[in-house]
Amino acid sequence: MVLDTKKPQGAHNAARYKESLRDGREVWFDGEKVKDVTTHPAFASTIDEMARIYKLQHTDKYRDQMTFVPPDLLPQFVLGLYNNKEALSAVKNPHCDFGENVVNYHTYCQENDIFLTHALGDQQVDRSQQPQNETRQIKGEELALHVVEETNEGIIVSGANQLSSAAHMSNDTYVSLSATFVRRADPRFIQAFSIPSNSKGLKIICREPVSQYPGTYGHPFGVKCDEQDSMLFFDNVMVPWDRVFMLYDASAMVQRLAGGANFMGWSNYIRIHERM
Amino acid sequence: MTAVASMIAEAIGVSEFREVAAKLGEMIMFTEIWRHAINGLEQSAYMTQGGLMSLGRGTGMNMFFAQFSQRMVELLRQIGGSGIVMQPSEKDLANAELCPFLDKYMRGKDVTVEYKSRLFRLAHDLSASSFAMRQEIYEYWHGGDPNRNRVNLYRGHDQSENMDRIKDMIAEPLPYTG
Repeated sequence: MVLDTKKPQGAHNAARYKESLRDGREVWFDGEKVKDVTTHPAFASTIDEMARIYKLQHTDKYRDQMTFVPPDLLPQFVLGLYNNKEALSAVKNPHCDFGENVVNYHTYCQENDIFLTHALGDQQVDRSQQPQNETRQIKGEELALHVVEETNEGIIVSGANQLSSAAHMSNDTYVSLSATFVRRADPRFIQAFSIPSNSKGLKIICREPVSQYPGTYGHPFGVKCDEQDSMLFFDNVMVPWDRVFMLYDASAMVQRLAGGANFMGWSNYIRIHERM
Repeated sequence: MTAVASMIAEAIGVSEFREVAAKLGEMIMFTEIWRHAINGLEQSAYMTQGGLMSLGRGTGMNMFFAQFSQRMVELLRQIGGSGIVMQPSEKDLANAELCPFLDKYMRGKDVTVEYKSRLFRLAHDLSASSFAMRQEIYEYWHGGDPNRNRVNLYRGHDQSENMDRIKDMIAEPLPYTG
């Protein structure tokens, strides 16, 4: 799927946000496939809270604080990549220019108010044998996320990745390698991309919600702010070339992580301050 | 959390107890340091080679928070004590048979049992419920693996100037002053 940057939708509102989650995504909860996350009792209250916040974007009181005219503000994760677009482009690929992909994707996020989740690490199966251990013994099937094959449309990936907060209520899922996982010799396990959260073959497995006994006043945070934590399983998921930012060569990501540019911190530090 | 802990202390008449006031002071200490740290981080913002504005390096702050976040929650739990563990529910409060007993035995200092139970149940969701426990794990890990980042801080921190000064100090014997 080529990124649709031609018809920007602007800031989310409550109705559009909820509608965007009714897209056939494969969300699992307590052994069952969830038909509609926006009405499921395990998820609805937090999605309602998010919708309430999106609604505020369009009120006279908060419009100026919560919205912007592009190109003014960038989604944080994408910003880190955007800052390193030259280094990403330096890794050549016959199908696409990774730096150009990042610039286009950033525009897409910015103009469509994309809710991104992320997953950056290998699952906890056998950490002594994960891909960055060059002396590991390969036993049977690879479990970490890896490229199965390339096609003219994109890469096909399989494996798992964790741990993704708010995946079930996100528009797109950004997958990359954190500083813990990025230094690995086997190129099959090196990739960064962002795909729609309803991509075919992407399974989002949610945990049971935190305490939500419906006795009112009991769990003011648990009810409204349970962002969920999901395991992501990739069963031959197709990632279009224009959504791939890094492949087989992690040098740009290593450079980004070592470079110390700090875009993600600010909102988090303010959140922490408010929590204290 | 600090405000909740202070309101709890007032609601059960312990805010003037010395050990409780000291714990509240410790919470405010962390909050004040954090506010100064954010200001410092903003002051050290710079333009990246990619032409964007970046905050200063936040690794040290991330690791500091991974450490003291648990202490903040611990202080809230210690101040709240038994009230964090047990409070009547809204339906208990609405029950005509039970309500007189709750009013009598579970009210607070100059506050109703309704106010007190709602406040303490909010504190419970911040410090003891499964939401709170998940949050505690999240706060420890989400700034990156603390051990990895501490190692990176050590490896990336240029100490040569201080080391040279120390070498100078120990290169020559001190003049004999006896």
